[in-house]
Amino acid sequence: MFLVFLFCALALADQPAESPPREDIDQTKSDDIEPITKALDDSPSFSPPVPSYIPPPVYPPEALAQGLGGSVLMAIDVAADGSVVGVEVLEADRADFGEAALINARSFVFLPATLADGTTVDARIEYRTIFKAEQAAAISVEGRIREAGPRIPLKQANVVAVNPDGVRVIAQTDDDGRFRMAGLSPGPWIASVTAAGHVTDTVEFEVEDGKVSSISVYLVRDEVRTGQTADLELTIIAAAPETEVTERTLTAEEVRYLPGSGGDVVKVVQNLPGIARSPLGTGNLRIRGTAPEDSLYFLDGGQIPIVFHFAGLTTVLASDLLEEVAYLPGSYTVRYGRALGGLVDLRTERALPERSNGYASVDVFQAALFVQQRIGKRDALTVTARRSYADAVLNPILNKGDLTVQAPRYYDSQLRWSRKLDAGWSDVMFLLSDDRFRFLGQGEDEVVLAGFATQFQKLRWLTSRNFGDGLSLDTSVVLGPEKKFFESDGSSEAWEKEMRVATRIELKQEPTADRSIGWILGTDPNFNRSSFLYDIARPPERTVSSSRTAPRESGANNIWQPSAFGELSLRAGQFKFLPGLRTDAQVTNAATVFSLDPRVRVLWEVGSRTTIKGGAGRHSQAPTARQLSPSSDGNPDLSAELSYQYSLGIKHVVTEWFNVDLTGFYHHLTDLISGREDRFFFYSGPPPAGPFDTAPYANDGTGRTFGMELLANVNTDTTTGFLSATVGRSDRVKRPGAERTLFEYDQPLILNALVSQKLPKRWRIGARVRYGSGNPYTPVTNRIFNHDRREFIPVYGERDSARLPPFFSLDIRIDKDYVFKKWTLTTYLDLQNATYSKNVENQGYSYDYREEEPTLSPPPLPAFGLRGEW
Amino acid sequence: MVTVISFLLLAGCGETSPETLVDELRVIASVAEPPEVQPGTTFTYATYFANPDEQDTVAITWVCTNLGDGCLEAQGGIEALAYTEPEGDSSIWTRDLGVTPALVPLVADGPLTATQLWTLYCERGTCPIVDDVAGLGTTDPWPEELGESLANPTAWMSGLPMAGVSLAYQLLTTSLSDDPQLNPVLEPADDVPDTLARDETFELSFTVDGNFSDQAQLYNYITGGGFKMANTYVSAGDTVNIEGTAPKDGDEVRIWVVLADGLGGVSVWTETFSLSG
Repeated sequence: MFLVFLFCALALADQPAESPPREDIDQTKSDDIEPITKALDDSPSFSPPVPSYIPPPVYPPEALAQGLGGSVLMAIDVAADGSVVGVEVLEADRADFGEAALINARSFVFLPATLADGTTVDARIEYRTIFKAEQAAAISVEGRIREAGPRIPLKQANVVAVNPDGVRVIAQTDDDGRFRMAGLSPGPWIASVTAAGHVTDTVEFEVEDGKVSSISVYLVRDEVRTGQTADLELTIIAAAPETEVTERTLTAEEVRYLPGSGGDVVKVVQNLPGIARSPLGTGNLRIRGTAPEDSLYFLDGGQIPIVFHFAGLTTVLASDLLEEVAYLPGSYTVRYGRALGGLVDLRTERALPERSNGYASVDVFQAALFVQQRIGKRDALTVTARRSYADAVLNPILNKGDLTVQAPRYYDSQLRWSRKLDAGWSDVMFLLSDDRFRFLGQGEDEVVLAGFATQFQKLRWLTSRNFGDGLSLDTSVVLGPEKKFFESDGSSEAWEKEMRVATRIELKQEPTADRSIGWILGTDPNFNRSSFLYDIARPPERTVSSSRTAPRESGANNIWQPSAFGELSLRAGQFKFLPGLRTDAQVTNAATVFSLDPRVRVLWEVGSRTTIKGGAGRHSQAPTARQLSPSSDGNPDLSAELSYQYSLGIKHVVTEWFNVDLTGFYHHLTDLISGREDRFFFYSGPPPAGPFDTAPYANDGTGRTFGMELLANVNTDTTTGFLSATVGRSDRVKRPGAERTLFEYDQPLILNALVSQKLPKRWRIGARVRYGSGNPYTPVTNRIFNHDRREFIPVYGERDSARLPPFFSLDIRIDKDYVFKKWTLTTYLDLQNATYSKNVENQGYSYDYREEEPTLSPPPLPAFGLRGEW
Repeated sequence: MVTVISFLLLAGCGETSPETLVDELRVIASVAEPPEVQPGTTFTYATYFANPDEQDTVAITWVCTNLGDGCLEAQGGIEALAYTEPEGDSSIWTRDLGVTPALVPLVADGPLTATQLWTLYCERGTCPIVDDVAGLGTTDPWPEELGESLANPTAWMSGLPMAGVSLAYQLLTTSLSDDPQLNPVLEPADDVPDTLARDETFELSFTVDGNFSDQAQLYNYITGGGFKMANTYVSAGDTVNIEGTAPKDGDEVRIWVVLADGLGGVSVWTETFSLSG
């Protein structure tokens, strides 16, 4: 039986309370105060607690503005020392009154309850706080508590203010990190601020009559992260032929520190299974033994020409704009098509930033700026810009003798306006990207010996609407020009220009607990106005067997690519079936090509930790306009190239921080287009070497890629890492009756191991080990001397019959964070190829082809960088 | 692009150009006199060989105008094939070759540069095709299999070793012109010394003349040491100085200077020098 006393108090400055009658109440507790469970003797000689200090509550602003009053009845546990150790709201006329009274009561001080012999005891009392608007106490101090560095508001942080007289007032922050205190006596106060997972701080302030003091406190996050994650999460959807792709969820913070990624989330994808390393960082993706041209890149489902700048140093889009990076190596959903290889879809964030933020960074290669401004409750504006200055650093090193070398330089920029709709999302983004480098001859003429550039500008509009019950409609349009340009020797020129409009409309019904069937219906039509010029000066002497010069080619095409797709999601117990059908057409000046791609995926959840996944289907890729056009010596009767893809895999979650994913795949390729290999094209790696198939284009080729992929992922509070391994083979038969030969992008073994470890005092260290088979290449077996040009011409052996030595690299990264009140500074040192492995990037030869003079990996180049984030 | 980078970085390194050093069996140059010929007529073809190790060698020459169906010369009747056994560390092989009269209708409207002049120079026993040619007369019809091989040398070159084999070719212009292109003139501008000092730089001076394009160049080769520049652009009437470094070792060194006018015409100057010091 408890002794209960009822007190009443007005929402005024300090007033003594009357002794209330006794009542029994149930015992409960407030969130952070232990309850009193001690039973007390109901003795007439018992004296209840007497209020000693009752500060006025903070009047809720909304109620005050409306002049509303009310009361709150609370049960308060008073310890034997007179402090309040528990508060419960029993009834409240308004919720905000209840909250204000609850917080206020924690500041109460009582003369404790006593027995007849004077012994102080614990007691529970009932106490009523009355709110009268006309008598509301003035606010003495208000403030905001945020996390140092990212300045995230800290909710439910406790602020305890104490004055020299020992008077103590307690407040708690709201969801916006704000708090207020009312009725404090004038004079100096000290506030102690605590929040879970953060280091406690104190601040002094002065209260003056008629004035409101303002304080702002930034708490440093404890080194052991226990509370809310500061950064947004970024999901990398990785691997998995099955369409319920295997999701890898990494925080943006972890991705930033992974060695070799340079903080670029898309570059992390390059370490995942199924992706072969491109030589000397040419920046393209070679997925499951297919050519880079056979894989596609998307921005929110709309095609873009490239995803990396030159040398693969960085993505063409700021990582902080992204919410997901979908990497689909094969057997993927019918939502995507027109490719034999894999794809990467960069998906931008569809959420407003919690607050305005940004960063500025500089390193050895580039400088970048990112600013995100919240505008009202529904809108946000984002501006990014990045520019390399490797040319300024490298040009003096590279310039030798008669050459002026302009090292690669690139820049990109994005401007985005986002709006959160009542039931959906909409945003518009403009983005541009420009890459180029040149070799110039010395002298006044500065003849361009070789030059290459790739550029694009895109406008992307995206809208998403939710109709409830899992029904949604997504629409996106990505449009804008693209250009590739090449020049050589001052007399050769080649370019390709595209004006592409890529659209996507998807109506989706998600399955729910009550509905086991879901579906997607959609279309992703493209239009492309494509023009080209290939004017490569090749004197007759260059070709031994013919005096024919390379023909000048130019032309333009309108390319229409309508499509339609549909997919079901059927759940039956532990199984999930996803059958789908996709149809594509390609209409050009020369020909129309149709394709129909049925696909199916199956998931079997064997227990709560294991999933078996399988997929089978057809993927098709239409010929290019050049291959079809008779004016370019093409073949209008060509049909689409086909890939029949099969996969089977298993994923097992071993522990909450360790999971393993193993997948086997087999792709059978048919109707591959062979021929005309002697024609100029923008190659995506080392220059192609003969012998060339110069016969007319035909769907004569076949091929296969097959292998196994393993991904083991570790993710704890302090350690992030993964091991990815791929074994496989890719080969081709170019013409009927020809021998089966290795494909030029075949890499039988690819291993990547990455780990990043947090250390005390905000240090972090990471390492990456890469091992990969060398690429096949066509060896030079002899040479012929051309008397007219006075130079040797190579004679090649069988195509791709030799293989470069394996590749090995150890990369190390060290980071140190400095956290200030309003911003964070990250410094890092990234050392690639730390052991100076002399990896062969590309085979080269002496002038007379007697000696091999391969191009080796660059020596270890320490990259030091700074990033300031607010 | 990467290969170009590595090559360009290497260019200009060192005191002499490696392309000027002749240290293997090799066809240095060939000169057709005249460089522009009427179909159905003969011309003189001189080939300059280098054989620093004085290996036992054999060589063949053939003429091939391949318009898609093999060499027109395979039918025989003209001097389109020849065999020899060069001796010594350097030699010059001069013989008469003919241009097939089948080209007459093709050159009626203007010159045609489609006839290839090939020379294969091998250490004896390394090139089977040489043995196939050795027993033939210069005007005999070519056996079918031999004709296919001679029409497509790259097909069998892949199977031969690099060492001890040198294959070279040039294009010959055919026309009905009565005023055909002539070879350029290459002459020493000063007295040429008999001796070069070991490991010392030297300079040679030449005058060049004739009908040049803007691609006319002077090339220089040496069997030891090296020249500073592999080639020099020249214009008609120029006096050109070329600088080289004599080898440290040996008793003699051979030098070739080749003038190409950019229009198909070639002149060659060659000399052997004693080494002193």
